[in-house]
Amino acid sequence: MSIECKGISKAYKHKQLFHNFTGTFSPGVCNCIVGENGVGKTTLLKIMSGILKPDSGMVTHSGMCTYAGSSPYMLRGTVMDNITYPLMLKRQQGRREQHVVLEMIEQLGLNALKHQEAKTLSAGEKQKVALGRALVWDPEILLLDEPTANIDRSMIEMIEGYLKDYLKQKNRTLVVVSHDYEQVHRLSGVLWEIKHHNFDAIIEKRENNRGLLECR
Amino acid sequence: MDYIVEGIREAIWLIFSGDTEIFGIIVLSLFVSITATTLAVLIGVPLGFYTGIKQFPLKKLYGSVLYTAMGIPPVVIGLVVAILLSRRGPLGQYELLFTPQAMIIAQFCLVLPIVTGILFGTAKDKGREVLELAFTLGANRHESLKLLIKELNAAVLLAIMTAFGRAISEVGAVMLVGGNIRGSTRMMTTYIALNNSMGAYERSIAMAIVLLLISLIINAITQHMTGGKAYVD
Ligand SMILES: Nc1ncnc2c1ncn2[C@@H]1O[C@H](COP(=O)(O)OP(=O)(O)OP(=O)(O)O)[C@@H](O)[C@H]1O
Ligand SMILES: [Mg+2]
Repeated sequence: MSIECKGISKAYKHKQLFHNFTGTFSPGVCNCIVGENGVGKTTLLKIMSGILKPDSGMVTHSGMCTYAGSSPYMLRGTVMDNITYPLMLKRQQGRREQHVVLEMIEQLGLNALKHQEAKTLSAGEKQKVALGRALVWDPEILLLDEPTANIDRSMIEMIEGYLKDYLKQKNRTLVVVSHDYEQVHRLSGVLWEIKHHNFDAIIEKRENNRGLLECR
Repeated sequence: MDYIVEGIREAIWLIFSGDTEIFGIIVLSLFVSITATTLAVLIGVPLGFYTGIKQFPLKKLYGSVLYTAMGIPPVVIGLVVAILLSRRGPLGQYELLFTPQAMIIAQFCLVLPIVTGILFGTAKDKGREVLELAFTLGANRHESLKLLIKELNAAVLLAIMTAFGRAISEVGAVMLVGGNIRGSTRMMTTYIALNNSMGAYERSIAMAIVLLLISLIINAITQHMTGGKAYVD
Protein backbone atom coordinates (compact mmCIF):
# COMPACT_ATOMS: atom_id res chain seq x y z
CA MET A 1 0.00 0.00 0.00
CA SER A 2 2.42 2.64 -1.09
CA ILE A 3 2.34 5.32 -3.68
CA GLU A 4 5.00 5.50 -6.29
CA CYS A 5 5.91 8.23 -8.76
CA LYS A 6 7.88 7.17 -11.78
CA GLY A 7 9.53 9.86 -13.88
CA ILE A 8 6.85 12.49 -13.30
CA SER A 9 7.19 15.73 -15.27
CA LYS A 10 4.83 18.64 -15.19
CA ALA A 11 4.98 22.07 -16.76
CA TYR A 12 2.49 24.88 -17.07
CA LYS A 13 2.60 27.28 -19.96
CA HIS A 14 5.45 29.41 -18.74
CA LYS A 15 6.68 27.34 -15.91
CA GLN A 16 8.44 24.02 -15.60
CA LEU A 17 7.54 22.51 -12.24
CA PHE A 18 9.29 19.21 -11.90
CA HIS A 19 11.13 17.08 -14.29
CA ASN A 20 11.43 13.35 -14.13
CA PHE A 21 10.65 12.95 -10.46
CA THR A 22 10.82 9.44 -9.12
CA GLY A 23 10.08 8.48 -5.56
CA THR A 24 8.23 6.07 -3.35
CA PHE A 25 6.06 7.25 -0.51
CA SER A 26 6.01 4.39 1.93
CA PRO A 27 3.31 3.34 4.35
CA GLY A 28 3.55 3.56 8.09
CA VAL A 29 5.44 6.86 8.21
CA CYS A 30 4.28 10.39 7.72
CA ASN A 31 5.53 11.75 4.42
CA CYS A 32 5.73 15.52 4.73
CA ILE A 33 6.14 17.72 1.68
CA VAL A 34 7.53 21.20 2.24
CA GLY A 35 8.55 24.02 -0.06
CA GLU A 36 7.96 27.64 -0.92
CA ASN A 37 4.72 29.00 -2.32
CA GLY A 38 4.22 28.12 -5.93
CA VAL A 39 6.89 25.49 -6.05
CA GLY A 40 4.38 22.82 -6.99
CA LYS A 41 3.34 20.99 -3.82
CA THR A 42 -0.37 21.08 -4.53
CA THR A 43 0.28 20.13 -8.14
CA LEU A 44 2.34 17.14 -7.09
CA LEU A 45 -0.31 15.99 -4.65
CA LYS A 46 -3.03 16.33 -7.26
CA ILE A 47 -0.97 14.36 -9.73
CA MET A 48 -0.45 11.67 -7.12
CA SER A 49 -4.18 11.51 -6.45
CA GLY A 50 -4.97 11.24 -10.15
CA ILE A 51 -6.91 14.50 -10.36
CA LEU A 52 -4.23 15.99 -12.60
CA LYS A 53 -2.42 14.22 -15.37
CA PRO A 54 1.35 14.55 -15.47
CA ASP A 55 2.93 15.53 -18.79
CA SER A 56 4.87 12.31 -18.65
CA GLY A 57 5.59 9.56 -16.20
CA MET A 58 3.14 7.65 -14.10
CA VAL A 59 1.84 7.15 -10.61
CA THR A 60 1.00 3.79 -9.23
CA HIS A 61 -0.94 3.26 -6.06
CA SER A 62 -2.08 0.13 -4.45
CA GLY A 63 -5.32 0.69 -2.63
CA MET A 64 -7.86 3.45 -2.46
CA CYS A 65 -6.57 6.96 -2.41
CA THR A 66 -8.11 10.23 -1.39
CA TYR A 67 -7.08 13.86 -1.55
CA ALA A 68 -8.25 16.76 0.60
CA GLY A 69 -7.23 20.32 -0.16
CA SER A 70 -7.20 23.43 1.97
CA SER A 71 -10.13 25.18 0.30
CA PRO A 72 -12.42 22.22 -0.16
CA TYR A 73 -15.67 22.11 -2.10
CA MET A 74 -18.69 21.60 0.12
CA LEU A 75 -21.52 19.51 -1.25
CA ARG A 76 -25.02 20.87 -0.95
CA GLY A 77 -26.66 19.77 2.24
CA THR A 78 -25.61 19.60 5.84
CA VAL A 79 -22.28 18.78 7.44
CA MET A 80 -23.74 15.36 8.14
CA ASP A 81 -24.66 14.85 4.46
CA ASN A 82 -21.14 15.79 3.42
CA ILE A 83 -19.44 13.35 5.73
CA THR A 84 -21.91 10.57 4.96
CA TYR A 85 -21.49 10.93 1.19
CA PRO A 86 -18.40 8.71 0.69
CA LEU A 87 -20.06 5.91 2.63
CA MET A 88 -23.03 5.86 0.28
CA LEU A 89 -20.94 5.06 -2.75
CA LYS A 90 -20.96 1.67 -4.36
CA ARG A 91 -17.31 1.23 -3.54
CA GLN A 92 -18.31 1.03 0.10
CA GLN A 93 -21.02 -1.49 -0.76
CA GLY A 94 -23.59 0.73 0.82
CA ARG A 95 -22.18 0.69 4.30
CA ARG A 96 -24.10 3.52 5.80
CA GLU A 97 -22.87 3.27 9.30
CA GLN A 98 -24.37 6.21 11.06
CA HIS A 99 -22.27 5.72 14.16
CA VAL A 100 -19.00 6.03 12.18
CA VAL A 101 -20.17 9.37 10.83
CA LEU A 102 -21.38 10.57 14.20
CA GLU A 103 -18.12 9.54 15.84
CA MET A 104 -16.16 11.43 13.21
CA ILE A 105 -18.28 14.54 13.71
CA GLU A 106 -17.84 14.28 17.47
CA GLN A 107 -14.07 13.93 17.21
CA LEU A 108 -13.72 16.87 14.87
CA GLY A 109 -15.75 19.00 17.26
CA LEU A 110 -18.46 19.58 14.68
CA ASN A 111 -21.30 18.32 16.83
CA ALA A 112 -23.03 21.64 17.19
CA LEU A 113 -22.81 22.21 13.45
CA LYS A 114 -23.86 18.84 12.12
CA HIS A 115 -27.20 20.06 10.78
CA GLN A 116 -25.82 23.30 9.41
CA GLU A 117 -25.68 23.89 5.66
CA ALA A 118 -22.07 23.01 4.79
CA LYS A 119 -21.67 25.86 2.32
CA THR A 120 -22.20 28.38 5.12
CA LEU A 121 -19.35 27.11 7.29
CA SER A 122 -16.20 29.08 8.07
CA ALA A 123 -12.95 28.19 6.32
CA GLY A 124 -11.63 26.18 9.25
CA GLU A 125 -14.93 24.37 9.71
CA LYS A 126 -15.02 23.49 6.03
CA GLN A 127 -11.55 22.08 6.32
CA LYS A 128 -12.61 19.92 9.22
CA VAL A 129 -15.54 18.63 7.20
CA ALA A 130 -13.19 17.86 4.30
CA LEU A 131 -10.93 15.99 6.67
CA GLY A 132 -13.83 14.04 8.08
CA ARG A 133 -15.09 13.26 4.60
CA ALA A 134 -11.65 11.95 3.64
CA LEU A 135 -11.07 9.94 6.81
CA VAL A 136 -14.50 8.46 7.34
CA TRP A 137 -14.22 5.79 4.70
CA ASP A 138 -10.70 4.87 5.79
CA PRO A 139 -8.87 4.87 2.46
CA GLU A 140 -5.43 3.25 2.32
CA ILE A 141 -3.72 6.35 0.99
CA LEU A 142 -4.40 9.79 2.37
CA LEU A 143 -3.06 12.90 0.61
CA LEU A 144 -3.62 16.06 2.62
CA ASP A 145 -2.81 19.53 1.35
CA GLU A 146 -2.20 21.86 4.29
CA PRO A 147 -4.78 20.07 6.41
CA THR A 148 -4.45 22.40 9.36
CA ALA A 149 -3.99 25.70 7.52
CA ASN A 150 -7.15 27.29 8.97
CA ILE A 151 -7.52 25.19 12.07
CA ASP A 152 -7.14 26.50 15.61
CA ARG A 153 -4.39 25.28 17.87
CA SER A 154 -6.31 22.97 20.13
CA MET A 155 -7.78 21.23 17.13
CA ILE A 156 -4.44 20.88 15.37
CA GLU A 157 -3.18 18.72 18.18
CA MET A 158 -6.23 16.52 17.94
CA ILE A 159 -5.90 16.18 14.18
CA GLU A 160 -2.24 15.34 14.37
CA GLY A 161 -3.11 12.68 16.92
CA TYR A 162 -5.71 11.37 14.54
CA LEU A 163 -3.18 11.19 11.72
CA LYS A 164 -0.72 9.33 13.91
CA ASP A 165 -3.44 6.83 14.84
CA TYR A 166 -4.27 6.46 11.18
CA LEU A 167 -0.67 5.50 10.48
CA LYS A 168 -0.65 2.92 13.25
CA GLN A 169 -3.10 0.85 11.27
CA LYS A 170 -1.59 -1.66 8.92
CA ASN A 171 -0.72 -0.50 5.42
CA ARG A 172 -1.71 3.13 5.55
CA THR A 173 0.16 5.75 3.55
CA LEU A 174 -0.02 9.39 4.53
CA VAL A 175 1.34 12.35 2.59
CA VAL A 176 0.95 15.80 4.12
CA VAL A 177 1.86 19.17 2.65
CA SER A 178 2.64 21.67 5.36
CA HIS A 179 4.20 25.08 5.80
CA ASP A 180 4.46 24.59 9.53
CA TYR A 181 7.90 23.28 10.33
CA GLU A 182 6.92 22.65 13.92
CA GLN A 183 4.17 20.43 12.67
CA VAL A 184 6.49 18.64 10.28
CA HIS A 185 8.76 18.09 13.20
CA ARG A 186 5.97 16.73 15.39
CA LEU A 187 4.71 14.38 12.71
CA SER A 188 8.27 13.37 11.85
CA GLY A 189 8.82 10.59 9.36
CA VAL A 190 10.11 11.28 5.89
CA LEU A 191 10.56 14.80 4.61
CA TRP A 192 10.30 15.75 0.97
CA GLU A 193 11.50 19.22 0.19
CA ILE A 194 10.70 20.78 -3.17
CA LYS A 195 13.13 23.53 -4.12
CA HIS A 196 13.48 25.88 -7.02
CA HIS A 197 16.47 24.88 -9.08
CA ASN A 198 17.25 26.91 -12.13
CA PHE A 199 13.96 26.75 -13.96
CA ASP A 200 13.13 23.41 -12.53
CA ALA A 201 12.21 22.19 -9.12
CA ILE A 202 14.14 19.45 -7.48
CA ILE A 203 12.65 17.20 -4.91
CA GLU A 204 14.89 16.08 -2.09
CA LYS A 205 14.09 13.31 0.27
CA ARG A 206 15.41 13.23 3.82
CA GLU A 207 14.75 10.38 6.16
CA ASN A 208 15.40 12.47 9.20
CA ASN A 209 13.83 15.88 9.28
CA ARG A 210 15.71 16.97 12.37
CA GLY A 211 18.65 18.01 10.24
CA LEU A 212 16.47 20.37 8.28
CA LEU A 213 15.03 22.06 11.31
CA GLU A 214 18.46 22.68 12.73
CA CYS A 215 19.94 24.27 9.65
CA ARG A 216 17.08 26.73 9.47
CA MET B 1 -56.52 58.42 -18.42
CA ASP B 2 -60.01 56.96 -18.36
CA TYR B 3 -59.38 54.52 -21.13
CA ILE B 4 -56.64 52.86 -19.06
CA VAL B 5 -58.89 52.25 -16.05
CA GLU B 6 -61.68 51.22 -18.37
CA GLY B 7 -59.25 48.92 -20.19
CA ILE B 8 -58.18 47.21 -17.00
CA ARG B 9 -61.78 46.74 -15.85
CA GLU B 10 -62.79 45.23 -19.16
CA ALA B 11 -59.65 43.13 -19.24
CA ILE B 12 -60.50 41.53 -15.91
CA TRP B 13 -64.01 40.89 -17.09
CA LEU B 14 -62.66 39.30 -20.28
CA ILE B 15 -60.41 36.95 -18.35
CA PHE B 16 -63.13 35.78 -16.01
CA SER B 17 -65.81 35.55 -18.66
CA GLY B 18 -63.91 32.67 -20.20
CA ASP B 19 -63.48 34.17 -23.63
CA THR B 20 -62.75 31.19 -25.88
CA GLU B 21 -60.42 33.08 -28.17
CA ILE B 22 -58.26 34.29 -25.30
CA PHE B 23 -58.32 30.87 -23.72
CA GLY B 24 -57.27 29.17 -26.98
CA ILE B 25 -54.42 31.60 -27.44
CA ILE B 26 -53.13 30.98 -23.92
CA VAL B 27 -53.20 27.22 -24.46
CA LEU B 28 -51.41 27.50 -27.81
CA SER B 29 -48.75 29.82 -26.38
CA LEU B 30 -48.10 27.53 -23.44
CA PHE B 31 -47.98 24.50 -25.72
CA VAL B 32 -45.52 26.06 -28.16
CA SER B 33 -43.22 27.49 -25.48
CA ILE B 34 -43.28 24.41 -23.27
CA THR B 35 -42.49 22.15 -26.23
CA ALA B 36 -39.67 24.39 -27.46
CA THR B 37 -38.22 24.69 -23.95
CA THR B 38 -38.46 20.96 -23.33
CA LEU B 39 -36.63 20.14 -26.56
CA ALA B 40 -33.99 22.76 -25.83
CA VAL B 41 -33.52 21.40 -22.31
CA LEU B 42 -33.19 17.82 -23.52
CA ILE B 43 -30.39 18.83 -25.86
CA GLY B 44 -28.93 21.88 -24.15
CA VAL B 45 -28.52 20.46 -20.65
CA PRO B 46 -26.28 17.51 -21.60
CA LEU B 47 -24.52 19.60 -24.24
CA GLY B 48 -23.80 22.43 -21.80
CA PHE B 49 -22.63 20.05 -19.10
CA TYR B 50 -20.42 18.10 -21.45
CA THR B 51 -18.78 21.03 -23.20
CA GLY B 52 -18.36 22.85 -19.88
CA ILE B 53 -16.43 20.04 -18.24
CA LYS B 54 -14.50 18.73 -21.20
CA GLN B 55 -11.21 20.34 -22.17
CA PHE B 56 -10.96 20.77 -25.91
CA PRO B 57 -9.17 23.06 -28.34
CA LEU B 58 -10.98 26.34 -29.10
CA LYS B 59 -13.09 26.01 -25.96
CA LYS B 60 -12.72 29.75 -25.34
CA LEU B 61 -13.97 30.54 -28.83
CA TYR B 62 -16.84 28.09 -28.38
CA GLY B 63 -17.74 29.89 -25.15
CA SER B 64 -17.72 33.29 -26.83
CA VAL B 65 -19.86 32.06 -29.69
CA LEU B 66 -22.28 30.51 -27.24
CA TYR B 67 -22.57 33.64 -25.11
CA THR B 68 -23.08 35.74 -28.22
CA ALA B 69 -25.75 33.34 -29.43
CA MET B 70 -27.59 33.83 -26.13
CA GLY B 71 -28.20 37.41 -27.08
CA ILE B 72 -29.29 37.10 -30.70
CA PRO B 73 -32.45 39.17 -31.20
CA PRO B 74 -35.52 36.95 -31.62
CA VAL B 75 -36.47 38.76 -34.82
CA VAL B 76 -33.22 37.70 -36.43
CA ILE B 77 -33.80 34.10 -35.43
CA GLY B 78 -37.35 34.36 -36.72
CA LEU B 79 -36.11 35.72 -40.00
CA VAL B 80 -33.55 32.95 -40.48
CA VAL B 81 -36.07 30.25 -39.61
CA ALA B 82 -38.65 31.85 -41.89
CA ILE B 83 -36.19 31.88 -44.79
CA LEU B 84 -35.26 28.25 -44.20
CA LEU B 85 -38.89 27.18 -44.02
CA SER B 86 -40.23 29.30 -46.85
CA ARG B 87 -41.50 27.53 -49.91
CA ARG B 88 -38.31 28.14 -51.84
CA GLY B 89 -36.07 27.53 -48.83
CA PRO B 90 -34.06 24.37 -48.13
CA LEU B 91 -36.77 23.06 -45.80
CA GLY B 92 -39.65 24.38 -47.89
CA GLN B 93 -40.87 20.93 -48.88
CA TYR B 94 -42.23 20.32 -45.38
CA GLU B 95 -44.56 23.32 -45.67
CA LEU B 96 -44.07 24.35 -42.08
CA LEU B 97 -44.12 28.12 -42.40
CA PHE B 98 -47.06 29.73 -40.60
CA THR B 99 -47.73 26.65 -38.48
CA PRO B 100 -47.31 26.11 -34.73
CA GLN B 101 -44.44 23.74 -35.57
CA ALA B 102 -42.56 26.63 -37.18
CA MET B 103 -43.01 28.65 -34.00
CA ILE B 104 -41.71 25.75 -31.94
CA ILE B 105 -38.65 25.54 -34.18
CA ALA B 106 -38.01 29.28 -33.92
CA GLN B 107 -38.39 29.34 -30.12
CA PHE B 108 -36.24 26.23 -29.86
CA CYS B 109 -33.46 28.01 -31.78
CA LEU B 110 -33.91 31.01 -29.54
CA VAL B 111 -33.63 29.20 -26.21
CA LEU B 112 -31.18 26.42 -27.03
CA PRO B 113 -28.15 28.74 -26.68
CA ILE B 114 -29.62 30.08 -23.44
CA VAL B 115 -29.95 26.66 -21.85
CA THR B 116 -26.60 25.48 -23.18
CA GLY B 117 -24.86 28.71 -22.20
CA ILE B 118 -26.11 28.76 -18.62
CA LEU B 119 -25.06 25.15 -18.06
CA PHE B 120 -21.79 25.61 -19.89
CA GLY B 121 -20.88 28.51 -17.62
CA THR B 122 -21.81 26.70 -14.43
CA ALA B 123 -20.25 23.40 -15.42
CA LYS B 124 -17.05 25.14 -16.48
CA ASP B 125 -16.66 26.87 -13.14
CA LYS B 126 -18.17 24.44 -10.69
CA GLY B 127 -18.35 21.16 -12.57
CA ARG B 128 -14.66 20.39 -12.40
CA GLU B 129 -14.61 20.91 -8.66
CA VAL B 130 -17.54 18.58 -8.17
CA LEU B 131 -16.09 15.90 -10.42
CA GLU B 132 -12.70 16.14 -8.74
CA LEU B 133 -14.31 15.74 -5.35
CA ALA B 134 -16.38 12.79 -6.51
CA PHE B 135 -13.24 11.22 -7.93
CA THR B 136 -11.21 11.70 -4.75
CA LEU B 137 -13.97 10.19 -2.66
CA GLY B 138 -14.03 7.12 -4.84
CA ALA B 139 -17.19 7.63 -6.84
CA ASN B 140 -17.54 5.74 -10.09
CA ARG B 141 -18.57 7.39 -13.37
CA HIS B 142 -22.24 6.94 -12.80
CA GLU B 143 -22.09 8.25 -9.25
CA SER B 144 -19.99 11.23 -10.30
CA LEU B 145 -22.55 12.18 -12.91
CA LYS B 146 -25.35 11.83 -10.40
CA LEU B 147 -23.54 14.06 -7.96
CA LEU B 148 -22.85 16.61 -10.67
CA ILE B 149 -26.51 16.85 -11.58
CA LYS B 150 -27.49 17.08 -7.93
CA GLU B 151 -24.97 19.83 -7.22
CA LEU B 152 -25.84 21.83 -10.31
CA ASN B 153 -29.59 21.29 -10.37
CA ALA B 154 -30.18 24.89 -9.35
CA ALA B 155 -28.51 25.90 -12.60
CA VAL B 156 -30.66 23.46 -14.56
CA LEU B 157 -33.76 24.96 -12.99
CA LEU B 158 -32.53 28.46 -13.70
CA ALA B 159 -31.87 27.49 -17.31
CA ILE B 160 -35.34 25.99 -17.73
CA MET B 161 -37.09 28.98 -16.21
CA THR B 162 -35.02 31.54 -18.10
CA ALA B 163 -35.60 29.70 -21.36
CA PHE B 164 -39.33 29.38 -20.83
CA GLY B 165 -39.62 32.98 -19.71
CA ARG B 166 -37.79 34.11 -22.83
CA ALA B 167 -39.85 31.89 -25.12
CA ILE B 168 -43.28 32.82 -23.79
CA SER B 169 -42.61 36.56 -23.81
CA GLU B 170 -40.98 36.80 -27.22
CA VAL B 171 -42.83 38.53 -30.12
CA GLY B 172 -40.58 38.90 -33.13
CA ALA B 173 -39.77 35.31 -33.99
CA VAL B 174 -43.30 33.93 -33.67
CA MET B 175 -44.66 36.89 -35.60
CA LEU B 176 -42.35 36.17 -38.53
CA VAL B 177 -42.62 32.39 -38.69
CA GLY B 178 -46.17 32.04 -37.38
CA GLY B 179 -47.76 35.00 -39.09
CA ASN B 180 -50.18 35.75 -36.24
CA ILE B 181 -52.97 33.88 -37.97
CA ARG B 182 -56.19 33.95 -36.02
CA GLY B 183 -57.11 30.57 -34.63
CA SER B 184 -53.93 28.88 -35.69
CA THR B 185 -50.74 30.77 -34.90
CA ARG B 186 -51.89 33.70 -32.80
CA MET B 187 -49.86 33.81 -29.61
CA MET B 188 -50.27 35.89 -26.46
CA THR B 189 -47.57 38.34 -27.47
CA THR B 190 -48.70 38.76 -31.07
CA TYR B 191 -52.26 39.13 -29.83
CA ILE B 192 -51.16 41.97 -27.57
CA ALA B 193 -49.27 43.64 -30.40
CA LEU B 194 -52.19 43.31 -32.80
CA ASN B 195 -54.88 44.56 -30.43
CA ASN B 196 -52.71 47.39 -29.29
CA SER B 197 -52.17 48.57 -32.85
CA MET B 198 -55.93 48.35 -33.45
CA GLY B 199 -56.64 50.35 -30.33
CA ALA B 200 -58.37 47.47 -28.54
CA TYR B 201 -56.59 48.24 -25.31
CA GLU B 202 -58.82 46.17 -23.05
CA ARG B 203 -57.90 43.04 -25.00
CA SER B 204 -54.18 43.75 -24.99
CA ILE B 205 -54.28 44.63 -21.30
CA ALA B 206 -56.19 41.43 -20.53
CA MET B 207 -53.57 39.35 -22.26
CA ALA B 208 -50.75 41.32 -20.67
CA ILE B 209 -52.22 40.54 -17.26
CA VAL B 210 -52.31 36.84 -18.11
CA LEU B 211 -48.71 36.96 -19.34
CA LEU B 212 -47.66 38.73 -16.17
CA LEU B 213 -49.46 36.14 -14.05
CA ILE B 214 -47.68 33.34 -15.86
CA SER B 215 -44.32 35.00 -15.20
CA LEU B 216 -45.21 35.40 -11.54
CA ILE B 217 -46.23 31.77 -11.27
CA ILE B 218 -42.99 30.62 -12.90
CA ASN B 219 -41.04 32.78 -10.51
CA ALA B 220 -42.93 31.45 -7.52
CA ILE B 221 -42.30 27.87 -8.58
CA THR B 222 -38.61 28.56 -9.02
CA GLN B 223 -38.39 30.28 -5.67
CA HIS B 224 -40.20 27.44 -4.01
CA MET B 225 -38.06 24.74 -5.59
CA THR B 226 -34.80 26.44 -4.72
CA GLY B 227 -36.00 27.11 -1.21
CA GLY B 228 -35.93 30.84 -1.78
CA LYS B 229 -32.17 30.77 -2.11
CA ALA B 230 -30.08 32.24 -4.87
CA TYR B 231 -30.45 30.30 -8.09
CA VAL B 232 -26.85 29.33 -8.44
CA ASP B 233 -24.80 29.20 -5.29
N1 LIG C 1 -3.80 25.65 -14.04
C1 LIG C 1 -2.63 26.31 -13.98
N2 LIG C 1 -2.19 27.03 -15.03
C2 LIG C 1 -1.02 27.69 -14.98
N3 LIG C 1 -0.21 27.70 -13.92
C3 LIG C 1 -0.58 27.00 -12.84
C4 LIG C 1 -1.82 26.26 -12.81
N4 LIG C 1 -1.93 25.68 -11.61
C5 LIG C 1 -0.83 26.02 -10.93
N5 LIG C 1 0.00 26.81 -11.64
C6 LIG C 1 1.28 27.36 -11.23
O1 LIG C 1 2.10 26.29 -10.85
C7 LIG C 1 2.86 26.63 -9.72
C8 LIG C 1 2.68 25.59 -8.63
O2 LIG C 1 1.39 25.68 -8.09
P1 LIG C 1 0.98 24.87 -6.78
O3 LIG C 1 -0.41 25.19 -6.46
O4 LIG C 1 1.33 23.44 -6.98
O5 LIG C 1 1.96 25.51 -5.69
P2 LIG C 1 2.13 25.15 -4.17
O6 LIG C 1 3.50 24.64 -3.99
O7 LIG C 1 1.03 24.28 -3.71
O8 LIG C 1 2.00 26.58 -3.50
P3 LIG C 1 1.36 27.01 -2.08
O9 LIG C 1 2.40 26.81 -1.06
O10 LIG C 1 1.07 28.46 -2.27
O11 LIG C 1 0.14 26.20 -1.88
C9 LIG C 1 2.43 28.03 -9.31
O12 LIG C 1 3.40 28.93 -9.76
C10 LIG C 1 1.14 28.25 -10.03
O13 LIG C 1 1.01 29.59 -10.40
MG1 LIG D 1 -0.65 24.54 -2.43
